Amino acid sequence: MANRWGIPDLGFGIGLRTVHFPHILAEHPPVDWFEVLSENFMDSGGRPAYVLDRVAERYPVAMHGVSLSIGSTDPLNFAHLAKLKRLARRTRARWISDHLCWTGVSGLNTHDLLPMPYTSQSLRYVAERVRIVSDYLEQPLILENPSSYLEFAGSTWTECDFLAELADLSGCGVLLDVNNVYVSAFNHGFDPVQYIDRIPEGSVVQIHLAGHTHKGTHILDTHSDHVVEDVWRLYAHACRRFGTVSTLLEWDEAIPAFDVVHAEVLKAGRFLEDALHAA
Amino acid sequence: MPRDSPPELLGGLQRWMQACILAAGPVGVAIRTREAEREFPASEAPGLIRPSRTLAPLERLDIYRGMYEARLVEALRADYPGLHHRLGDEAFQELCRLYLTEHPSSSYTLNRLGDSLPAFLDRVTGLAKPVFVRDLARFELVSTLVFDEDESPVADPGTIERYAPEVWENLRLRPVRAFRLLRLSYPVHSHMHAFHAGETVPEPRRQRTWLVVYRRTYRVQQLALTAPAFALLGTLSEGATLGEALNAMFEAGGARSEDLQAWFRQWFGEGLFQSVTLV
Repeated sequence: MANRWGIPDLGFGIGLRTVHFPHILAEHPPVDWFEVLSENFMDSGGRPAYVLDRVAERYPVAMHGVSLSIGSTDPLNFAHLAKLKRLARRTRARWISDHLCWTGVSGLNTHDLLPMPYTSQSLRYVAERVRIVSDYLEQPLILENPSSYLEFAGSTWTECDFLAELADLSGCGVLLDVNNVYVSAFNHGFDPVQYIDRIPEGSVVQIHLAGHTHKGTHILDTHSDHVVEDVWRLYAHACRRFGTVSTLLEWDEAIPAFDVVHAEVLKAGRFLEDALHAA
Repeated sequence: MPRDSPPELLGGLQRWMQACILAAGPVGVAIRTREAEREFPASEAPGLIRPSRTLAPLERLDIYRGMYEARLVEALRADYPGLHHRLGDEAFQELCRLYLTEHPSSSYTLNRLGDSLPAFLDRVTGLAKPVFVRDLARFELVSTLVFDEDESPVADPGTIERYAPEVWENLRLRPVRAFRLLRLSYPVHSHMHAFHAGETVPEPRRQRTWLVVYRRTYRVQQLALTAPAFALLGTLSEGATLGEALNAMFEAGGARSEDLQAWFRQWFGEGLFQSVTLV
């Protein structure tokens, strides 16, 4: 099932990481596509820029940001957006994504994806900012559900309903991070399957998968390991609901050899096939 | 609501949460800082966050506080590996804590988080071999700046010979962008070569050192210079003509004609200049 913008399914991709640069340049591995962390390349004109250009010549690329801070009460940073737009043009990025979160306020940046209070007031506020950003970028902004470790007592919406309504009000797409749904479901005690079922079908442009770290009392979204079985099951459920969607594996800590990361995302194909046959 | 105007409750929660994340000490102290209490009195703090099945509200807030420090210290450690090695884990972490209190990130990127660390170190007391430690920090900062600089064209070694010798004094040699000069009290570059090679790092000994730090084929390199060569390159990099730069060099000690020829052969060979123009 296609998303409402007709953005194509790119297949199974992995996040472009520095430790894999030599392997990618030398071996040109048969990966469907790469996701690029936007801020890592915006201000770097040396080797990172060179490698990104080589990758973009050969593979489809999507930009994924961590500092847009769409939910912040600080003004939007148009210098940041200008660099983002330039980078997306240079790499012919298929889409631009960031997170439903805020990263800082009063001119500071915590460099963390901090949770929003989900209220009608913040919904209207974020929707307006999404529209401004999408107009500026001249393409729909794709927003990811973050993993979170606290919920504000003043929230009057569930996160999934907030995200669904935001997609409707602002026209943003959804990057559904299945691991984040699982992590937040454990941390906050909600049903992850119901969460996925509340996301509108035509809004999902991309799916994220990753490993996490279970601390006993809570789960941290560390991207430091293989995808756990429960998350694969949740991914299969998402496939049944959304059909074939560009799927990407993130691995950011204790990153293993390229082939290990690639093999991990290719497992997704099996779950997708099973899900589509069962549907 | 006016376009893009932030809701007051959202802004208050964000300023409060950020103040708690940035504050030093335990979470019970963080909620009592002036910045946090400007938004919500400490007595109300636990009521702002929902408890989970396993964690109390302030324990959930504390997860973000721990991740903030870990993430930013890690970013500084990536930019200052030599300084981290020299000081050791505990002292480096304490230095970062103090530094981040004074210099929290205000950028969308972590790339330049440590730019003020060498200047901050100038005010830190109680360091063993403080001059060496400060040299080390300056060297590592310059290395990151050179790493991130934009690429520029490189003039080939024969460029200067296309001009008649009688006009050489009116030539302007423009260095590439990835080019910095560094005057040090210790041969830090030798120390760092041993460190990166995994060799035993000898105890540093004072030795006046003049370096050009530059990038060649996307790798950061250093070239040790004599004092006159340093003066010559320094004056050239400020936009002086070759004649003016030679005058400055002679004031710094002078050089033999064969030295000059060898220097320029090496400098052009290393790709230090992007253009030669007649003024």
